[in-house]
Amino acid sequence: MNSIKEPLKLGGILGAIALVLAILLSYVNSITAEKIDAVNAQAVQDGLREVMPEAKQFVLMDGSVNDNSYGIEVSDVYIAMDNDEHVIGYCATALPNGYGGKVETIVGMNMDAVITGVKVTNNMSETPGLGAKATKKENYTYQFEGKTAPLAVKKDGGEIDAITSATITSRAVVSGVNAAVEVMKANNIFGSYIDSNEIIDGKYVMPAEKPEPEQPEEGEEATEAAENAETGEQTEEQTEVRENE
Amino acid sequence: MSKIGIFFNGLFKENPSFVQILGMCPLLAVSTSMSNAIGMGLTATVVLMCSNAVISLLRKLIPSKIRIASYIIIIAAFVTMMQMLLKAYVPALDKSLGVFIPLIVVNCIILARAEAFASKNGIIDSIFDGAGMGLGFTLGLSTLAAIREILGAGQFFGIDLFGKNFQGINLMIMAPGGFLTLGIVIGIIQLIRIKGGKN
Repeated sequence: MNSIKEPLKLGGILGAIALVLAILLSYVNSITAEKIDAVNAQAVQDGLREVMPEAKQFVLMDGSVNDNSYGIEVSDVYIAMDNDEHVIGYCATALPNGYGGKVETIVGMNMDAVITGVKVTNNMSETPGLGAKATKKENYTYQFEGKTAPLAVKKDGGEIDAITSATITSRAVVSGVNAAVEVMKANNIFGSYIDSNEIIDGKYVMPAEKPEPEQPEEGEEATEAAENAETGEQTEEQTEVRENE
Repeated sequence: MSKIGIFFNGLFKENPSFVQILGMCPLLAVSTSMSNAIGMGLTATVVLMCSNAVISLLRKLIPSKIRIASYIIIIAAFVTMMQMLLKAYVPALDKSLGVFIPLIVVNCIILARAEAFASKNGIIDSIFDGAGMGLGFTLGLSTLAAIREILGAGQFFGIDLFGKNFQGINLMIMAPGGFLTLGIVIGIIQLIRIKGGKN
């Protein structure tokens, strides 16, 4: 009898400890979750303002770009607008590989694809005193302002001065900037007409009638196919349209 | 031993970093800058004080067969809470310490104090032990970090000491610098302890 009782007793005690701690954790989570979201949102806004100081408002372009075709993930495209809600440029976040992991790089571009600013966020694990210097504008990223991609560090025949002893990080930032600009070009973001009425809850939803980008993402096609499967008639119509294109 | 005695025992006489040689992984990894070292040390101190207090309170309820499992759950819960609080109120520190905050769970200083002290002593003594050991760890971290940051980057708490054109010894910031500094500091401390013992 004892051999059955003991494991149950031990398990029960361990379970009770875990339960009490889980309740305590969920309480701490409930009081910090909102604050954490606010801090993260503020960090994003601060980063955007730094790469495009002239803009007064940033609107997330919902689900438009999440491109990995250059081996570097580019996502979170924001539309930058001035006081009169005129679009003056775009910001995108690239995640190139640095020395110690991904180097989160925010790139600001105006309507002519000229870089207005580059910000390397603290959200990375480069070596303090070396690669981590890239997070300060006066150390490195000031050089990108007013330039057009593709760029390269001086070691590779380009015009950007790499940070001393941190060539890998410097190259990563440059490749992130290049990828961001290229992805925006490939997705026809520049010059696309933005109707401020389409902005809902601070997010811009790409209108359905917008001409398809040259290289549509697989994910988008899959969802379209799934939608079309529900209504058989539309599928035929759309296939015709595509053939005509 | 008096409460103050327990506190200073952890801080100097049985310093976890230089005398007990515990928690070497975070010691080497996070001692690249002073702000990281202080942040890591204080976070670990809070976790250590909380876990010591709770383990001491529950020491008669936890059967010895499942004590290690129980300690780990308790420590993990406090570490997770600390991470949430840091994310909400000190986001910059959370980002620069990154993965080393969740790794406090497996910092052997914390489990060692639970096993060696909190499970055998009262709650007040255990809290003092946690504070002493935690600040001892902070002292170890900041000693290494001060040497590495000044020599490696020419900075102290991120402030340039020798002007902008100073070229630091990069080796000191990199991993080998951590090992070299640790070895030299432990050597000096051992020398002092041996000489002190003779007198």
